[in-house]
Amino acid sequence: MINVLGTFSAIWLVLWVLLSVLFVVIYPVVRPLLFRLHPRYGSALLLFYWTVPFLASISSTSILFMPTVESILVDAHCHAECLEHAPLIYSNGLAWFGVVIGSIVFVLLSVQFLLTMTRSVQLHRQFNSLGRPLGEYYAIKSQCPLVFTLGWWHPSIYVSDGLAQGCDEWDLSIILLHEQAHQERRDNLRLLLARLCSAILSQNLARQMMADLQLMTEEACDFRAAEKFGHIAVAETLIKVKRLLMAHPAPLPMGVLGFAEREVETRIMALLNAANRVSPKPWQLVFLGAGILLALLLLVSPLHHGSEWVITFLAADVPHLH
Amino acid sequence: MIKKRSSSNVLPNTLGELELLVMEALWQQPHQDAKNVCSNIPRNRQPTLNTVQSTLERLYKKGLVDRIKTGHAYTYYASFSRSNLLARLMGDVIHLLHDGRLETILSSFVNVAADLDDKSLNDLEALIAKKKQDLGGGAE
Repeated sequence: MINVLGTFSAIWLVLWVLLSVLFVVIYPVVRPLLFRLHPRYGSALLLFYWTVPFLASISSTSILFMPTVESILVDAHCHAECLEHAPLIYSNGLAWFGVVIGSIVFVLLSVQFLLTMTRSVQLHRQFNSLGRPLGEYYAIKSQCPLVFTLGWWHPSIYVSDGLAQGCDEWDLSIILLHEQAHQERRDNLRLLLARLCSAILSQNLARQMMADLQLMTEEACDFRAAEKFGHIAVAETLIKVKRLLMAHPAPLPMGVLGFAEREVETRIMALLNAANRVSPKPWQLVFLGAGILLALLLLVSPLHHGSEWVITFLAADVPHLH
Repeated sequence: MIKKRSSSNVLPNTLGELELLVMEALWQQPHQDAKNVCSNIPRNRQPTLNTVQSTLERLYKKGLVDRIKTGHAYTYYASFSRSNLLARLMGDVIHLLHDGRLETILSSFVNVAADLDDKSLNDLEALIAKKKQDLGGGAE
């Protein structure tokens, strides 16, 4: 059991790291293509892009440990005494290494998830308790002009009195439609998923990736509001809210956010040039999905041989499972 | 006699459910003893008197309630108003949004950084006006 679990963890982690490095390297090429798409598709594909290293590594490693599936995808071969083996040859040292590292990663991811969840639940409870429910949102008695959507499964919208007083009914409708889009799309959950799946990336890379994903997510909600109110009206509301926020003493000095700087400017430019964004056709998405599935299946054979080569290299006395 | 607390520098952004219920009871009706606070909490969420007493003690240490000794018991009142607490919470949210610690918990309509100056906003408004003109008076 330890051998299987440890070997699984070791292969999965090595593959996760390698795929993450590969995806980071090719991201500068993929990024402009994604930002040329309609943000609805762009944000979904960007989320998918950053979860692929995690999902592909875990699914291809799982396939590797399913003898029936693996036997179809990996050509017959033998080692040393040419004994049949399934799923892989193993090494005790590697297995224990895998168990230890896998456990550390699992614990770190769980702690990160639990801390974020606790913070989310606390904030949700406090704002719900202190705010006044007004139909589709909670009114918050604060002069800071802020509106936000909080929560993962059942997100709620919070609008401060400062924002409600500084906007007219038209602007407020646009803002609420934008926030409702966050609610329906469960954007906070998407961001959490992306953050956990890219936990292996360095802090700097992860911030850049999250900033892009947040930007694309905001654009997707802007475009949703624009379907009803028009792109120009949404752009005007963005300016108005930004001015309200700038007039309030709360904003922190320029440069604090790093990658997300000038987000509003980018979103306004996206709205003004909405006609340039492309919506992929359904057959193109099906083609992309089929291509990814094929790549995943084709990955199994080289992964099997590569893993065995690494195991043999690391351990001279490699016993077989059978 | 007003007794001073020993520590009052704890941020109120970590209030639990029961602490919020107790604060709510004190906002509704100040100067209550623990027994009254307990009876003013909605019946379906009512804790024991001991729990309310320890919650009041915790809130006192956090600087959110104050107390006066009358006879053998204390009467409590909220020293932090609901709007002050909300303002503090909003401040925390803004700061947490800035350093990215809330990025997976909440989405705000516009980022809270002062990353654009007036000139940039004016330029953007001019661009919007031009686009509006190109499209024929605002219709898209």
